[in-house]
Amino acid sequence: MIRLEGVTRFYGERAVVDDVSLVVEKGEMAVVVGRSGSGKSTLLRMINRLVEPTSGLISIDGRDVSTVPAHVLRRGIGYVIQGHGLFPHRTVADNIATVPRLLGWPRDRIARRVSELLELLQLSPARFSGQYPHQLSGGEQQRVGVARALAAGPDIVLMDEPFGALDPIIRSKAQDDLKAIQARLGATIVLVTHDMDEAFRLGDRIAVMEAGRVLQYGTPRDMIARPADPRVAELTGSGEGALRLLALVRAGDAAEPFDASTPPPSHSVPAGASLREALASLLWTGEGELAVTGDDGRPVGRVTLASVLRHGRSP
Amino acid sequence: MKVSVGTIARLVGAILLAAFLVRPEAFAPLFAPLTSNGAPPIYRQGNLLALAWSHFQIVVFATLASTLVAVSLGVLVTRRSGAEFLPLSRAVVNVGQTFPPVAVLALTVPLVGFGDGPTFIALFAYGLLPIFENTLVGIQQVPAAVTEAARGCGMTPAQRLFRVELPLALPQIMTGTRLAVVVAIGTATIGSTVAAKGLGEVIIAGLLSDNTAFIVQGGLVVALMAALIYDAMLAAERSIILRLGLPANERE
Repeated sequence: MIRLEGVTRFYGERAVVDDVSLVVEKGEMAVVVGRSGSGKSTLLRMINRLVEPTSGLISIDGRDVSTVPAHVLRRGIGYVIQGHGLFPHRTVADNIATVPRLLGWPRDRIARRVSELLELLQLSPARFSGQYPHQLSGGEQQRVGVARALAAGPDIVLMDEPFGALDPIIRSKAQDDLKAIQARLGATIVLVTHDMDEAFRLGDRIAVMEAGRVLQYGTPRDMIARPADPRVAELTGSGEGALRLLALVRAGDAAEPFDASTPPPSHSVPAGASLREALASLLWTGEGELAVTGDDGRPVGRVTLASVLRHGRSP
Repeated sequence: MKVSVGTIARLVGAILLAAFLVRPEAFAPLFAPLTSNGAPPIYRQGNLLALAWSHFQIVVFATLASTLVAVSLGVLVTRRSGAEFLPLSRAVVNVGQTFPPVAVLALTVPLVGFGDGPTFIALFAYGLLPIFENTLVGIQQVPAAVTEAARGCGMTPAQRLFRVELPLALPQIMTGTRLAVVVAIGTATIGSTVAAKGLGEVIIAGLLSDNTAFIVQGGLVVALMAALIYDAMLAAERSIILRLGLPANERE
């Protein structure tokens, strides 16, 4: 659990981060979203002491971070930055091994861990271990950056615009993968982004920042249903609220059982797709309902246009 | 494997240099036309191989010393705590470069006496600037994201320097060292005016006895040595750039 209490950081006369208090629960993904210059990166960088707060308290699992030597603290916290920051003179395997080496792990344990992580991020160890960062594509570099951050099995991972350098198609895949990895590892993640869609897609909780202050911190649903501030409503896009709500619900969760008396729908969506995608498909096909298919491709239920519309109604 | 013209030229140059240093008499007919009144065409007052070797040694030791000092200074002034020493360090290495080596010799002879000492000091001072400036550039051009990642991973300042900054600056530092070495090989010849053992002896002997053959052979040996060493160091730099996977800089 990460707790920030009254955290403030001045640069000269200007408070870049202004009296921020929030708690990130264990295993959650908190997304800090804001425009550039809103102080979101500075806030993130104070958690692993890359920036020291001017005042206020930051604690991890009840322990004040300022009492831990900075380099020791950072070895226990994963850190992913935009443009990956891989060491260009080291191979993929050596990059990933950075923190375990600093921690003095034995060689064979490091080697095992490196291949484990490469597998986890869908990079074949045989092919990638010995390559240098400049030989990889943008998406591969990004994944190696994530693998490096996860190498020593940190409980907390900080990510500063981790997908910022990726093109949109790879980005959504990388976001899905991150969600899956987090579910599997149970790590607490704090992610900073300027992209509201990314925040809604990834965040268990979202903190909206502007001019150094957190305007609202809550679940995505709260943000849309009860914006605490007109600026939050503006940032979350008031006109798109319904679509954002739909994007938060999985078709599988909204599916209704089949009615044996009616013929099955001719089109389908996978259970993992959101209702927003289901709506798009309904509009496109002109149908009134869709079959929802499970991982094996067999229908598990159906969603109707009426039920989709109901999910998008203002709460 | 394709053998380039350059490789062949280098090989021929190296063989010629070695042959001339070991058996200079064999080349007598070549230099004879440059002499008059029956003067000897080949320098025989000292062993050419020994002279070349001590010439080379002075250059190597002086450049090693300037590398050590210049890289340390470069590291110091790129630390946050040492940034204020940048103007001072620049001034020091600039004086080293702009002060004529001949003047350095003249000033140091009364202090350290005749022999290799004054030459060593002159070459050392002369080599500081290129190595210092290249070290600065090399360290400053390490991408900000990379140093940020090194901090974020929990490297101590010393670990960042030795595991990230210096390895990434190495090719640039080597460029500085290469320039310093090549300049030093030529400059070391004047050391012979204050009794340093080196190839300058041959040239000075030629000047004193008005023997063009000596001047030409001394100059050729020095030039060939400089060209071959420059090439070898450039090749080493390139192989490191390739091995480190760094984008090859456009140079030469």
